[in-house]
Amino acid sequence: MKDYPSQWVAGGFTCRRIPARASDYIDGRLPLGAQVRVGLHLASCLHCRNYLTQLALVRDTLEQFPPIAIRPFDRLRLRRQFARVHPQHPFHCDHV
Amino acid sequence: MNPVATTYPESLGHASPVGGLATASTGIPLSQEDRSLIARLRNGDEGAFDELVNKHHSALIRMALGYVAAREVAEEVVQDTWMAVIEGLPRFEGRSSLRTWIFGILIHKAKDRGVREKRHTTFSAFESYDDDNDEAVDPSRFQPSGEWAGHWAFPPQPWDDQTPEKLLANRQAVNAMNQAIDALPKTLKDVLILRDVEGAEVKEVCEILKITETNLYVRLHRARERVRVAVETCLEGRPASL
Repeated sequence: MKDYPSQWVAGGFTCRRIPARASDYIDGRLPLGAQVRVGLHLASCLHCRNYLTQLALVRDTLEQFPPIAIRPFDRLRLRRQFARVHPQHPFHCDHV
Repeated sequence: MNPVATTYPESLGHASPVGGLATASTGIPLSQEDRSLIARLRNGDEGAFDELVNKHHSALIRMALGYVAAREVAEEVVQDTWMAVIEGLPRFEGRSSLRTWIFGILIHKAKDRGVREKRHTTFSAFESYDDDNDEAVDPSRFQPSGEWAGHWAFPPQPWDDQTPEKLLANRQAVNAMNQAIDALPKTLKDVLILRDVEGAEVKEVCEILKITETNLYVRLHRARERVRVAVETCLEGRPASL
């Protein structure tokens, strides 16, 4: 898609002003007016669309980031402490 | 590691000395999932405790590393945190979510440990970070003047067909992301870990870190941008600074 400076004017933002609003935009947190203005800019700006796509990809990848497993010895020690402080009740109750 | 006898107020993540669960009074209602989990924990269900550890351990370690320098020390801080959780559960009133309580304990312990070790001299050194108005994206990537002023001079290139799964399968990209996260200032790291890695709600993150939503998003964007640049450098071979 080709960029048209006149359309940025219509949108009200230059590319440089987009990143500051990018996380709010991809998380759907911008006020409606700002969301429309960013949307208008994105409609004519491939580079900013790339930027937002990358940012969203980073966010979505972090959500699935590989976990750090607890060390086996630490887990064992915690289980022992848990069993000592919270001895198992014969009848479980799901309500508090 | 010392056995944990200390209890923590729910305001800083602390169990108050009364049994039973109150209605949450700090803005985040205790979820049904939390209530059910707490009931199982109090009944001595070890499976429930394993679930709790598995759910939060990664984020706790990553956050602890914002306060202490060594991974080994971070592991100890998190172990101390879990011990405090075990000891404090009978007195947990539910005035905050379980996550808010646990991360509150971690921050308290990690700050204490970090100060004692004097590895991170002062925390205020990082706190001023949010006061500056630096742009998240390097200004030299934009045209400074002319008809195209404010337009990208060095635009982001498309990452064709990239998905989270493909990115996670790329060891170099994962290493780059990990290094970028490790290098974040504490104030940015806390927000990124809690919101994007741990998946906490915005209000919960604000409650844990005692910051406003506006402040949270300023920090979150700066943190995401630094990780994005790390991935960009890895995928495109672009130098970190243009």
